[in-house]
Amino acid sequence: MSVTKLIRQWNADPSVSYNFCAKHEIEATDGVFVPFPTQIHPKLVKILRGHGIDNLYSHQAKAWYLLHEGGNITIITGTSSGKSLCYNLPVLDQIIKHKNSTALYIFPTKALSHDQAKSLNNLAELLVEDISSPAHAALSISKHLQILTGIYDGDTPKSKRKAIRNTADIVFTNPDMLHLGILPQHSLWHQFFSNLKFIVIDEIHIYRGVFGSHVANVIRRLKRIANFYHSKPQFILTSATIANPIGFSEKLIEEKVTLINQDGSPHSKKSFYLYNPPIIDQGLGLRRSATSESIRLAEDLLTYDVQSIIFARSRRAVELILSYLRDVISSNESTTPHAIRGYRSGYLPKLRREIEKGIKEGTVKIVVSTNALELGIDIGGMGAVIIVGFPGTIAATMQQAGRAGRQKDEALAILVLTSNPLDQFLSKHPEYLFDRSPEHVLINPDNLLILLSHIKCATFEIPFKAGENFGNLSTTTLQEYLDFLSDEARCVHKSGANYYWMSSSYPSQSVSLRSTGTNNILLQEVQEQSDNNISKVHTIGVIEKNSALWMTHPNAIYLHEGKSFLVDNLDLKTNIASLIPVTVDYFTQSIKETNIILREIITQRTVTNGTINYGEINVTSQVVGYKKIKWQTHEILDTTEIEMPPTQLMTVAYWLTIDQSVAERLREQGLWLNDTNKYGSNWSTQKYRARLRDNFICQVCGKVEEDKAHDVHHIKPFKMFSSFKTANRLDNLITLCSSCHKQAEINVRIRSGLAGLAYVFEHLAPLFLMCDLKDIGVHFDTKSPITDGSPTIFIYDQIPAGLGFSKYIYEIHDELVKRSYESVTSCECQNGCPSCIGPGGIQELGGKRETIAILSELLSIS
Amino acid sequence: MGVHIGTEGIVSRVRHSHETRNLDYANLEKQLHGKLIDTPHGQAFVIETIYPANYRHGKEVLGSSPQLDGLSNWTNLDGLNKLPRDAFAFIDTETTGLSGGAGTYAFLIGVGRYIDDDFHLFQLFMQDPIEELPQLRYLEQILAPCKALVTFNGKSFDIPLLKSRYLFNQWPIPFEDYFHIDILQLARKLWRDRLPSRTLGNLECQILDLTRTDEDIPGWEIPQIYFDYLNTGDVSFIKRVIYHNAMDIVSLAALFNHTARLLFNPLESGTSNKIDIISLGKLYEGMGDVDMASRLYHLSLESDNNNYQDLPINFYIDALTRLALLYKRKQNYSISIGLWKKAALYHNIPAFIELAKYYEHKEKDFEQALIWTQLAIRDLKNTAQQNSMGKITLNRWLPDLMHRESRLLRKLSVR
Repeated sequence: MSVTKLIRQWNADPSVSYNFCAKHEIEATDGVFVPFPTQIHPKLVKILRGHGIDNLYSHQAKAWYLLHEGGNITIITGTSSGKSLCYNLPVLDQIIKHKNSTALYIFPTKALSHDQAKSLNNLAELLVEDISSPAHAALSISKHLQILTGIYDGDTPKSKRKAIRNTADIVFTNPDMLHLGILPQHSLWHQFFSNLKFIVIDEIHIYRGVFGSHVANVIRRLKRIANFYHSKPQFILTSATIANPIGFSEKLIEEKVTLINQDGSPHSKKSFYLYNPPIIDQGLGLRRSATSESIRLAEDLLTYDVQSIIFARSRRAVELILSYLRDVISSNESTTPHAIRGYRSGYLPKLRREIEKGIKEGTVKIVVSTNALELGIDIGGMGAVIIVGFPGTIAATMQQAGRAGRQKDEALAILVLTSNPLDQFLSKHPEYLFDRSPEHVLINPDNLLILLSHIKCATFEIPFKAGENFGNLSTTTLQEYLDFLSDEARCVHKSGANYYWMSSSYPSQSVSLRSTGTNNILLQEVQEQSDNNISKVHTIGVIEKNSALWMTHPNAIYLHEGKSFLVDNLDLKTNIASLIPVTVDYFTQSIKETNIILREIITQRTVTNGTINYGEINVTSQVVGYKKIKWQTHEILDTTEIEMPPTQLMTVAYWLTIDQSVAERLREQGLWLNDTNKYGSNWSTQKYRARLRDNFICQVCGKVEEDKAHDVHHIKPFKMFSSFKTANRLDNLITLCSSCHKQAEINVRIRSGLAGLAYVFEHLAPLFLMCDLKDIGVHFDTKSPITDGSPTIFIYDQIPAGLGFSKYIYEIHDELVKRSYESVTSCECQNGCPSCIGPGGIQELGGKRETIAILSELLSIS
Repeated sequence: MGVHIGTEGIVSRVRHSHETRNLDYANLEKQLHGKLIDTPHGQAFVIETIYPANYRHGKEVLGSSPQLDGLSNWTNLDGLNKLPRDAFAFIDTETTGLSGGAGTYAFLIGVGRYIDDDFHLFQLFMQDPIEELPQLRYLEQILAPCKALVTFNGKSFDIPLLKSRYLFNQWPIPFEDYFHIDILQLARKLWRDRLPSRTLGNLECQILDLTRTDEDIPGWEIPQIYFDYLNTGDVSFIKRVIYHNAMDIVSLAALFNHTARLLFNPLESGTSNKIDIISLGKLYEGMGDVDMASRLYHLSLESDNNNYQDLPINFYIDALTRLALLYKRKQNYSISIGLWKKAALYHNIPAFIELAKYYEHKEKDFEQALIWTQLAIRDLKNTAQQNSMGKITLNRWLPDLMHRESRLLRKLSVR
């Protein structure tokens, strides 16, 4: 009721309703109920009826029938649609009927394992009680029927592990533990594997990118071991909404799957609004912050007594919103401070359980959380959900929004957008959220490094025999890898046609599922202790080595949890960066030089006014300097040269080459020639002095000035200076003939256009790839040597040998260009802003018009 | 893209990496003095060595057959002492690593057994990993007449590893119901206080008075030697592994005899080392044999006439206080008091406290109790001034003593 009232109130208040840029409503449905399949063991049906479950939702029944026929399934239904019954029902039924059967449940996090194990245990316990009660003695079930579940993860005490291995019917674990502690020790699990009937993998959309590519290989190993023990388990997968559920599922488990996506559960009316904070500076495209707007909305939620979750993107944001809201309620005596709680990693499990309980019981009114509450921990439905900023993927957005929803009352989810390009794109294109997710989950289990690691682990687990394959990897390819491991790496011994692990190492220990490399840099804070001259060292975090080179080079300012640290030293031998806490009014930005060498074009096609390519490249990047930039004004205080070791990346890339004719036409459009700069009172004098200094010779082609005076060009564009005097200083001026000048201007123009385009591509691509910004690298070159001097934009996979991101961009090039055009043209800013083509003004002039011009050419829009 | 990208993380572990493998099994038999044995799953390679009954290994004669009653009690294995000597198998494995898991192989399994009076050592060597199942099948044959396994650190390493090899080969574990005696666990109890390290090598040296020849090789090199052998077929280093393994097993058998004798008759075991006698006392105390423990503590304190020249002071005090507590348990306070008073001379605070407790609760002599309490406090404060350890002791005991003191003063004032 209160939600309905609040929605009405907000819609009537223009200071709120004006910012709702999209509204999506899902009408209440009664659900589709189906009677229990007759094959289900009557005992189980009885228990469920006793639990108030008299029917199944249609999707639960469908899952049961499909599994009964022996297939594998992927279930995509909303939050709290009774997904877990889809797998618990067939698993329990199987174990009741065939006592030895076992099932493996894989959850992406420990917390989720624990939550799910708890609810399954409740069900399993009822089964025991019921069976042992004399009233049902007539039923032909052993009185000893007891379904044992066990959580086997890094926290499981050693003393309990043996019992779980030998007796548990259902084992809950996570991919990391499977990889490290179960598969390499499979002999100890022989009974479990010999009877393995079902493998449940929950929330598969989490297994994307590097992590997913690893997990797909862990599943190859799991299947190989199951096969070793003569079992062929069926798979039950669940996922959030993604664009390619079947394709992705089949790539993950390398089995045929059937999709279940018709949600048969009933739910009340749900609304999902997008809220775009109002613009406060038209020129800069500056909007009010998503955080403060969210706090404003949350206050109303409190007033209307609507139980809600506020999802923030970082732990810091959680604390910020929390403390603000606490202040608000301290002035309001009707609510206790415990009505508002935070929830994030870093809180102790006991505290988390307490908060979860508070939510369920209704004593907690508002919980401010990171994505820790996004995955299926059971806390019941909320009246409202506020998501502060697009969480990075649509799947995550929909899962967070899915927390809103009640049995009877109306529920509301609001996504409060930031000025990030993706957020702003969604404000114009809400259909991406509501109609059909464009997110393709991409993995590449055959990525060279990842695959090689897992072939090692697999050889350790069971020697490879002649003619064997590894997942979908052919015998021949597998053999190439094995021969490499035996001849070059010398950790595998080839005997006849068999390959044995022959090394004293435990290979899975050196393979982390969550990264490609093992090279990490420890970030250590050095705290000087004045009294005894001993400095205390304390590790505040870890970053990958490649990132360390540009984030923590010596004298860099590293930001961590809102605090500034000065990098005192980066030791690449010991892999330690020493940081000193400082208070400064600037941040640093590294200057990177990137050089791309072509290895091989794999495929190529012509597009409007350009060519796109997919192929293998070498990327060499080196940090050569850094800038100190003042916080408030973004003024460059200082530029320093440094030399960091170059890094090499052999990877795959998509690249777009823009036809030379586009550059010509851009010049012909010549808008900028009309754009007379007011060059200031000393311009004619300075112009003459520059020509005099340069001996009236064009400094590019060497042409000597004849009838017409040569032009004088500002090396750093005039617009970038606040005073004409500094702009017109001789060292910023150069004499050029008119044709070289035009070229220089075009270069600036193309440069800003390309820079803008690169920025849009970089920020929009994750919408299609379901990846993080850091998973792809973008580089542009106005005169790329690879493409015979044509302007080129590269998008490459940031992982050696690639995961498929750039390949997919090659496939969706047209879509990406179209969406980029829409994104830039619909942005309210004048000359470019962080929401479209990036913040102009540091290196380039705005560049919005140039970006649009290039995009129009690529779309042949005149 | 080939298999050449990004493999810089992989370090070649092979020292002579360019020699080609040239395995000549017939030659191997000659070189290693072994033979091939048929099993239902193919041939296994074995090297058999016979040590005659009178073979002397350091101080121990291998063929001596001690009574096992003490060992049987300590291990709590019912019926162990009834087993004939040929029911014992002494096992040690050499493996491709220490990490365990499905990819760790036992490439050399050494088993020693008494047949008639002689000690027969069988060393089952895996010429190639493909021979694993025959190797395990032959081990099964050797172990068939046995009832007990004897190992050194086998509880946590060799035996679980062998079990997992059988499981891995999907073949039943032949020794599932055998007794298992891990001599390391016993050695830890017996020599923890005296020896800085209880590795087999060190026990060999300290207990058995034995030194190995240069042929021996450090354990950590062993996996690599096997990998190199697989790559090159060169057995020169394998021979040294075989020597190492043989020594491990023979020493294990000798230690087994030695410890069995110690435990059978600890008072007359011939051990003259007082620290060892205290350790034996603690072991018997742990087993609940209070009489034997008391006798051993007495033995350790005997000839010293209140001076502890041949026993370091902390051991002397340890024996005194342990013995005192044993007598206290038997309500034999008169002896306890004497022992505590001796210990108190050496600043042993718990002894002061025991005395204070005794006078307060048993004798109701609060004055005496107060005296012992105050002596303890004074003693504590004195030592605290002398060293930093004293400070720690002070913090540990002082609150309790102060509490006791005030209670006693209260009781005295009431009176």
